[in-house]
Amino acid sequence: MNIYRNVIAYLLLGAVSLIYIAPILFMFVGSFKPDENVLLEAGSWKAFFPESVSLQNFFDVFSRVNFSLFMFNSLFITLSIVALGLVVNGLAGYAFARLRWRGRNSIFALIIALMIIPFEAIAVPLFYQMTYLGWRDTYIVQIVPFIVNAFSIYLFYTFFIGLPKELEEAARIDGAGSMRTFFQIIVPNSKPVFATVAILTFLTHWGSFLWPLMVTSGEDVRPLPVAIAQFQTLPPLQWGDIMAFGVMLVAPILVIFLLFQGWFIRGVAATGIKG
Amino acid sequence: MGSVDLRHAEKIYNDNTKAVDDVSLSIPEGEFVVFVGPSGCGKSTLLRLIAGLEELSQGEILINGVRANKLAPQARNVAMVFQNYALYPHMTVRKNLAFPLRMSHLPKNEIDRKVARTASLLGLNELLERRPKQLSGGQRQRVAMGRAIVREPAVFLMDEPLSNLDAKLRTQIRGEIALLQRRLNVTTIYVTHDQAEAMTLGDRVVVMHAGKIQQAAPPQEIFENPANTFVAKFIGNPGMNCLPATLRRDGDGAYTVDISGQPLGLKQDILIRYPRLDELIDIPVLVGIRPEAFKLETDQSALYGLTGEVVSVEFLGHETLVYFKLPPPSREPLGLSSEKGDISTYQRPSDENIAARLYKRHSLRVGDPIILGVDTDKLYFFHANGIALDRQ
Ligand SMILES: Nc1ncnc2c1ncn2[C@@H]1O[C@H](COP(=O)(O)OP(=O)(O)O)[C@@H](O)[C@H]1O
Ligand SMILES: [Mg+2]
Repeated sequence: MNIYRNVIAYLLLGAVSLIYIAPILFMFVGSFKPDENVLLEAGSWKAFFPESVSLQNFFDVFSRVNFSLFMFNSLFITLSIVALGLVVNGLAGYAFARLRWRGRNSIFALIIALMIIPFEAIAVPLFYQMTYLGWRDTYIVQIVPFIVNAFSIYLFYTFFIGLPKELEEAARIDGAGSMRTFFQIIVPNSKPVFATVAILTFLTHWGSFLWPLMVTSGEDVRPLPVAIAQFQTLPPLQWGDIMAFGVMLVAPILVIFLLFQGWFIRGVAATGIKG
Repeated sequence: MGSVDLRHAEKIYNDNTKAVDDVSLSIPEGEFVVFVGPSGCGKSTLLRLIAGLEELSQGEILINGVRANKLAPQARNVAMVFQNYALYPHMTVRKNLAFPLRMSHLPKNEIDRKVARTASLLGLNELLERRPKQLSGGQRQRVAMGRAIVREPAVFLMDEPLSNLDAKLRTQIRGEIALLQRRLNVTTIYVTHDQAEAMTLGDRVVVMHAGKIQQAAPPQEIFENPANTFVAKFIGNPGMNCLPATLRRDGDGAYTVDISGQPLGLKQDILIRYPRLDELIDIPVLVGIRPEAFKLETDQSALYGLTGEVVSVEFLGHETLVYFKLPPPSREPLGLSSEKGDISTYQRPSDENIAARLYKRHSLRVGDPIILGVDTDKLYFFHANGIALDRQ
């Protein structure tokens, strides 16, 4: 009876996960196929089992576009947002959780309220603001507006609130100021939340498309998602190359996730969020 | 180098809890002061005020004669040992000890020297490379002490530093703390809810209740001359029995104290200890009897004794704690005062059980009648409001 139920459960779960995995597998397999075969075999089992494996598509990507530039742009922009975001939002979360200052609660409420505003709602005014500042077609325009993040602040806040206060009090009595206490006592004991915020931020901005499309016109500072879209319109339309591009676009995410999986799961458990 | 003065210190938290209420106390350099009182009486708050972790609502704190109200904790030159030790989990013992020194920007070799000295003083040498997680409770406690000692502060503050240890370890480390304090001779303010800890450690014991100091005196003084019934009941294990009673003097000038209708005759020399005893004649008072002042009467005709019923018996090996209750006083109003129609002397029976410490062998069981002799030389007298009657 029990075994029966288990088997059924596993079959169901397997079927559902297949729905999620299929496109990724399709992309992965397609990247090793000759261009014409990708769509041709899309309806058969060959979509997932290539007859021959070749890296030709990957070479093509590098020869047809300046892939390393796009990769650098994406990494530079995303990692800058992550790194600066950890510092700024971490400090902000700490200030809300622990420091006593006038207006703290109302400002915190305001920040929580900000979480519900979707980016698309502010994209156009932000665009005008950036144009006014003369920041279009730069890295800055793709980094600065995303450093401060209400959700990150909230995650840090919830984690810091749960840390034992005595640690900070001990540090203060031992002679450490607020900044030093934060960097030398709080940060080393908050690795899970830093890892969680880092990964969530990375995931959010790695795939960012709308904003870079709006603010960049040339290739110089363009990130991968905009480049891949352009690649599609670059004749001749070669699906194998697009699949290879796609694989290289998601590879860093997989690497990062696999590297930090343990911390990520601990962080999710510690901050009580669902990724 | 490390005196602390509190002047009318008061702390009201945001939710209007008055945690510390008009506390004034002078602590000279080198003294070991223990604050003791039941949970919630404001001990930790007082300590945190001295440390600078909380801000005073009223009054003044002086450290080394300098007003410290607005000084940040790090500027006060105090060190604190927390109840849960608050060791930095990500640092080794060595780094934990070095942290306060690094914060005061000492040169590296100086830091190493001081850490080494503190480690050997506390027997931490083998543990220096371990993290707090890899230490037993007792070892953690020692590291916490070490981190306080290492920077040679003007004042040690300790908030229930032993309460997370088992009873045996607690007694052992209690002894070590006492030795250490005497050796370093640093002003120490120690907080505990355990009266035994307070009495064994303190040069001076400060009993607190509801944010107020009830009495501040050396342990022996606290035990022998409690300022009020709160102190009397709190100190000792079990504490003093404080029973509603009436004091009478007959025509010959002989004093009797009437506890729930049971008269105890007092010796004439009571006046030497309590010269102002006459003020209490015929008004409600509280009589204090330490559990040790009872003795089991084998001679049933004993003159000065209380009769009651055993409520519980705790056998402790070399002694027994017997709790008993007195029968309700007879309905007929007793004694002289009632003849005058004065009902103020009507005594309610004590709702608390009376504790007696017995050393003799006995076979008392719950529900048994009991007759206990009272050593009337050891009686205490309190005004009805709980304040002790002046003693010589
Ligand atoms: N941060 C705080 N905010 C509000 N009330 C507090 C705070 N800390 C302590 N209290 C209250 O102040 C009183 C004294 O607390 P505390 O000093 O911790 O007592 P103790 O250490 O003697 O147990 C208690 O009633 C407690 O509830
Ligand atoms: Mg406390």
